Amino acid sequence: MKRLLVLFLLLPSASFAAETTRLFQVVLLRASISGADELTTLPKNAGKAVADIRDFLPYKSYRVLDSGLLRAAETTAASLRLDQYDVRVTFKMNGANKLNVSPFTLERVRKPGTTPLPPGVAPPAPEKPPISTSFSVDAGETIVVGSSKLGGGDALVVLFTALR
Amino acid sequence: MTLVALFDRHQARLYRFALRLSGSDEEAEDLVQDAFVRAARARVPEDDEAALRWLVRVVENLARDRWRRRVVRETFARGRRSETYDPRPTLDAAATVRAALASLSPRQRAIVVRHHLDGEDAAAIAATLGIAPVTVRWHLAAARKRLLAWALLTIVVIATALLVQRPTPAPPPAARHIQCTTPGGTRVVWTLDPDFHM
Repeated sequence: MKRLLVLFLLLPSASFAAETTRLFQVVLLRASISGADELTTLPKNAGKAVADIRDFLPYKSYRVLDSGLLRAAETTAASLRLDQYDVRVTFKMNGANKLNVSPFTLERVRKPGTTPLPPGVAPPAPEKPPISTSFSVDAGETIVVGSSKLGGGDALVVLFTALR
Repeated sequence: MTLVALFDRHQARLYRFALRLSGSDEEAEDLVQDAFVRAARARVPEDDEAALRWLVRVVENLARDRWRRRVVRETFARGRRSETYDPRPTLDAAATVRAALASLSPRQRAIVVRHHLDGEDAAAIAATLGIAPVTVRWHLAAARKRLLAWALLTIVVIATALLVQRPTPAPPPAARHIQCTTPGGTRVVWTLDPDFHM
């Protein structure tokens, strides 16, 4: 598994010094109803969240797909690209500790097509993001953000930590 | 008091309480077992009445944790199940009472069971749960309102089922959003989406 540790900062250059920034940790997991855990690369501070959801959610195993760090500024859209997925997060901070994360979107990266589309054929419609939600998070807290098919199957899980 | 003495003295009463909370013999036994496992690890009050109150609170908390887990798991499992209404279970009075009780929060259910089925007064329930009698009365009033609403809803649903000749087809399922907290305190923000794929 390719592990990326990417620090992205998408800030307007003029406001760089003035705006407060905060560091976030994003861990991408695949939750399955069968199989064995692959959590050797799970960051230590995300371990408690995985332990908590183990009895709570109906999944047997969790596999780390990738993880990364993301620095973002108030009201600024920030983007972190992981191995297979593109995570785009927009923050709106209220106060020093409580952050409203809205919207939180995880969408796939479309690989560029190798063969051009025939004339008259419209490009495919943009894919619906697997995760699109909103929530609040405290400094130091890990939020488990997930999505699965209605009725069962594997799930995509993001452990989103607002680092202190 | 030793754990064995504690078990011999309170197991039967705790079991009856757990059975009324859960409605299941197996689950009630599990709840009582888990409560005594906790008692073995924790410092249980020496006083007999205080020890019973402590155990009742543990059973209630364990039942609440299980209820939360069950809500999440049932929401996950619901899937594409048809929403077509089947009026037969609601015609069964016992099933209606069970369903109405299940619609209450675990704390309200515990208070209603102990007040209306065990005949305990608000002061006794308050002493056991470690809350004010006025809070118990508030829970009872809120639970009564909810049970009344449930009864009215049941009547409306049965009447509708009898009047409507052909049920309308269920609409396509929409994405469901759940926000909940695990017993360990981790918050979970989940989307159940009929169009989701890995």
